[in-house]
Amino acid sequence: MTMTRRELIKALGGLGALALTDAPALAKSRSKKAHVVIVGGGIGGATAAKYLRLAAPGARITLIDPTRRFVTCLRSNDVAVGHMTLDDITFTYDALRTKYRANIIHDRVIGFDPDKKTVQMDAGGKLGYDKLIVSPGIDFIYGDVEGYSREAATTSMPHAWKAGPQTLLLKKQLEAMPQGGTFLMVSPPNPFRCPPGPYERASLVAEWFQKHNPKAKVVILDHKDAFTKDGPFKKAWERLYGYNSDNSMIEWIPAAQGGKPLRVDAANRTVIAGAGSFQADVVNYIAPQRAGTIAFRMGLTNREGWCPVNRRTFESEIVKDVFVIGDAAIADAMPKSGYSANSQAKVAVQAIADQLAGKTPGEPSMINVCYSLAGQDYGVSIADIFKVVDNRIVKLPASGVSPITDSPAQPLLEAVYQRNWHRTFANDCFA
Amino acid sequence: MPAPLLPRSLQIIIPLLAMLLLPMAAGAKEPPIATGKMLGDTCASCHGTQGKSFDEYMPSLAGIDRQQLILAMQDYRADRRASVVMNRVAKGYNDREIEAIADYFSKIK
Amino acid sequence: MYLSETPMMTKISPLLAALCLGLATPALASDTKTSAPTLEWDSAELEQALAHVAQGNPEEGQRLHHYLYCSACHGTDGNSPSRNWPSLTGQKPDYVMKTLLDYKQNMRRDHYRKANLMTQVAQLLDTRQMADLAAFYARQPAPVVPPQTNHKLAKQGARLAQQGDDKRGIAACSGCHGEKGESGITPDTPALAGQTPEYFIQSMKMYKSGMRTSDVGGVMRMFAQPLKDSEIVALAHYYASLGNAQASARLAQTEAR
Repeated sequence: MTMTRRELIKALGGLGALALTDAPALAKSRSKKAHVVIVGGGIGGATAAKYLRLAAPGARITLIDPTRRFVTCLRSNDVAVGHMTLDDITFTYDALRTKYRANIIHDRVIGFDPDKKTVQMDAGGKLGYDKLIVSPGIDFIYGDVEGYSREAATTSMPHAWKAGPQTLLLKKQLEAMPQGGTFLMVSPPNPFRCPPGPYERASLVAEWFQKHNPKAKVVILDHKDAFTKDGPFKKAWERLYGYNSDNSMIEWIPAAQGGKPLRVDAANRTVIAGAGSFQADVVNYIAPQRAGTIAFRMGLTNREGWCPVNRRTFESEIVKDVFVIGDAAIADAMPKSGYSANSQAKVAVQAIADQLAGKTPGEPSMINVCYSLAGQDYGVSIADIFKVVDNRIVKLPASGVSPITDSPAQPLLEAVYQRNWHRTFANDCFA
Repeated sequence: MPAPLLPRSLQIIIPLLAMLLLPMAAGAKEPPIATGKMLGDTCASCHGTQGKSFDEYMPSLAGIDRQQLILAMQDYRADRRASVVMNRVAKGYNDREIEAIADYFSKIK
Repeated sequence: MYLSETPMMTKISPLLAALCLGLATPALASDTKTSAPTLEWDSAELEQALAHVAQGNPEEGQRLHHYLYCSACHGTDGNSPSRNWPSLTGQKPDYVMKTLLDYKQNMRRDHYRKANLMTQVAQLLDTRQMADLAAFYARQPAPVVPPQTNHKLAKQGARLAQQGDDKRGIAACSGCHGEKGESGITPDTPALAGQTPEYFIQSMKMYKSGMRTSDVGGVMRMFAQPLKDSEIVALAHYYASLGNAQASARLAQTEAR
């Protein structure tokens, strides 16, 4: 084993500090001075603020987000079909402010100086940081298909892929559908936020039709030939919506059968794909995605539009002392989910606390457990644990998707768990 | 091979460094695992921050008996105990990790 | 008919009542599954409902324990390892059967709210399956002493449990639940030995506040009324301490590691 002189001195510096001082005291004194700034108050950013406080009681923590309340995408499909309200999935930053003593600033970040380690806010001036966590979420790519635009997305073809006004717009359009109409969904190419989300939405819309519009149909045009949990989802569709029969309420057209959209006529609610021209009463066009715009402005993205990070710490591979978590980060086998963002926030917090204490960041461990509803009393799930091997995040082989069983208790309990989980999970992030 | 050009002080510390690194080398056969806290934080997203979530659905893990938790995880992992999700989750952790998780939660009040 | 209407409680979902297969016809038809527990047992009707218990098949019960994921919460063999949920091993079959009927009829609350999970799971069960599960749990030895049992508190609870307190009108628990908490004298008095103390405390507090109404004739609500919270805790640990002293072989093995 050879070591450069610099590495050796660095290693000894760390050991020297450990040998000479009380390590926890050191950690405390350094974190006391440290200022950690978090940009983005979604699942990732909120979890980071909370867990940072638990790890470093003396640190200065600032969270910047332009909105005063956060609406979770989680369970927003329930809002679209009227099982929940937007209020049920809206959370405040009150606990982060009072219980976890984070300084919450409602402002926009408009500039960033990685050398001087400052962020520039729109109204609030400059803010210096020791470590910066960026949790940018996603934004949409509007220009890839002719005829589709940002304008179309806010009127005739809502994506409803960020919960809020778009969710309510989709709900309104669903309710206004004529009897026997068609609900057309375009499911985006990988990678995208919440991989099972489109299929949960298709399921819940079909269930809503059973009650309110029994002859209506859901058609999914897909950029892909497979999707997450497709085994249990298709089984559920068979059991609940006649999938694979002449009377199926759901039709799924994969890329191989011409599902990929080629052109859009937004005014006529029409999507032209290889499989034909689809005119519908509601078009839920879930656009292709990239990292949130703030990540581009800060120079944290690669050519594909996502943020490369050290997989053990989530520190940006482009800018030192900046950590990118959540949907925007490239995390290999980890899906872009709220659960992943929560888990990645905890890994970044561990790395930051260790770095501030002069230690090498500890081994990470990550998880994604995600429940989707195929019907109000029918859940399907995926559960994976992740490790880092050679700077790649890999999932351990034995876990995965819900098995298909004949036990009636399984899908029922998954649905029961899903409802409770949203509450527990939101508490882990915001309360 | 030329002798390394190091200040005398560093030459003295090298054996110390070697001693400190030795246990790591001895354990090299077993891959490193995350701390009980890091692993426990993966449980928190469902079982509550620091494992505190008494309710009808998810058991609170804070203050749980160490052996009970180990046994439960082993039973889930081996499919001796049917469950909706935990069988799959438990398969993601090895024995040492399960023990670290149990150490962590059993010490939380 | 096996459910009786009480003056203050009048509603039952027709769906839920109809689901009580082979046992009864609904007493009253009305709305909403989400309303508070609305019915109380009458002892004669309970007796009739429990007639099926004797036909329970423990082998089938064991299969159902896993097939319906009872094991996910209540433990590999029904001995619950968590602090949220009750252990079921060694429980009287009558009491398990009654409890499942309680849930199916939306009579139960858990964790100080309307019981959601068990209420939904119980809809999947017919009376034969309930009897099978009851037979499976009854066949096994009483739960082991839960590891969180506090033996000092247990000693404090012993006197009250065995003798009650005449001055305050508190009857001895052992009068109904058995000298060693092994079993009750009527179908609705459960065995308490080895029960998870946290679950015991929750149940008693819900009886005390009147939130739990599944006791026949309001008897437990009455007994719980004069108890102080500290006494409930002591009783919980006393009954927990009466579980099987011997840890299961597998748990002992884990402890030796």
